Amino acid sequence: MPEANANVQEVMKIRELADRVLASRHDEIVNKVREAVAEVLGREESEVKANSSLMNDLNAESLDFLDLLFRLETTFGIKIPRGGIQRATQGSLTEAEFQQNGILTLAALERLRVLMPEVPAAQLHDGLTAREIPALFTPETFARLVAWRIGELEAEKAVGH
Amino acid sequence: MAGELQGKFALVTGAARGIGRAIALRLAQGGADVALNYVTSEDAAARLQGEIEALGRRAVVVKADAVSPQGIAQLFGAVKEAFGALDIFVNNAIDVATYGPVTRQRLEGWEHTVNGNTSALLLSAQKALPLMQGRRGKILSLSSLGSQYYIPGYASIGVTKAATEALTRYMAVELGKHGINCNTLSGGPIDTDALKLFANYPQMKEACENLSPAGRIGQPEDLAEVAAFLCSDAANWIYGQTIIADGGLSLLSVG
Repeated sequence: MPEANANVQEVMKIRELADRVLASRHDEIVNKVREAVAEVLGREESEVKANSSLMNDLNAESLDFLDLLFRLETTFGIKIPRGGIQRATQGSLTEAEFQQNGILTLAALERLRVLMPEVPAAQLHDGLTAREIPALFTPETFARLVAWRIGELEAEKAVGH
Repeated sequence: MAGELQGKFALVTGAARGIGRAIALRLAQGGADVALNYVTSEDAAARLQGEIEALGRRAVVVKADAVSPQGIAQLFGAVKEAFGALDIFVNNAIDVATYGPVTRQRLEGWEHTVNGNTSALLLSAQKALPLMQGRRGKILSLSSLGSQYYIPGYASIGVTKAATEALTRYMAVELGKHGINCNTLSGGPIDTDALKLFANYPQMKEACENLSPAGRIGQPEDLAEVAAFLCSDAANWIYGQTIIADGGLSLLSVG
């Protein structure tokens, strides 16, 4: 299925950039993200585990994500698109290719599995809704997002922009 | 109306997506050459560039943070290099670092949002002025109903937009003497990716469909038409105004 391949290839680029950066800086980035999460949610850093669900375990609301992104931008000197994770997940898929009545399509799930390898496979199950995606976000997720943006910056510098 | 912007040079910030994209495309359809600014949406910016070039217009893509002083310097430097002059500046991009109830605002995000976006218009106007010398310039900022009315969670953006409208009035007088029209275009909810980030997006959409005279939520193209008018010589007599184009939504009150 060439279509499915193109679908996965689009997100593989993001995944590979993030993997490359995380290979050497995983712990440093995750710890800085945990620090930022603790700060934004008014928690002790020890309460914020790398795999804590921000919404389910730490009572974050969606509006907290905006504060967090801003803090990560200043901490790491990067720009993160607002709604970046969902936007990267949808990519060039149309709304109908991405979700049907709120339920993620197989193509969307396939992309999520590539983009969010830190999420246990059982949580990315058939029937997952687009609204449930934010509940999957953990410090690891944001570390991947940060690593992707750092990777992009480094790639740009390498070609001399 | 095509052709009313023939020979004009335009710059649109935040042009890759949503309202900025629709305005950039509409200005090009009117005949303008357009500099397209973006900060993260590289692929979308490149696609828009292709669409505008297919219309036979020039499109220059400029990656820069349009709300930071360095980014603004870079942006206008690129415009000067590409076009040598500027007729239309559309101040569309904003950087929102905080959202939510007044009691939950943190100073850092609040200051970044309110000061950052307001200063960006100030600095951009200063950079635009020399490029617009001897031309009939237009500076158009995007605002929203949140500058005058309550939108849940929207305090930081609403205050930013109110400041944009006020600064535009001052610019209108002072830059007006240089032949530049400064105005603000205020829309109701427009169906974009940015709007989908709001927690109450479904309610806003439904309210527009059920209550507003237009009977639907606004599309980016709805605002782009008005923007094109405000950027054309047909709007030479309009100074420092906030033009509300919202499908009639703001006419309604509860009760």
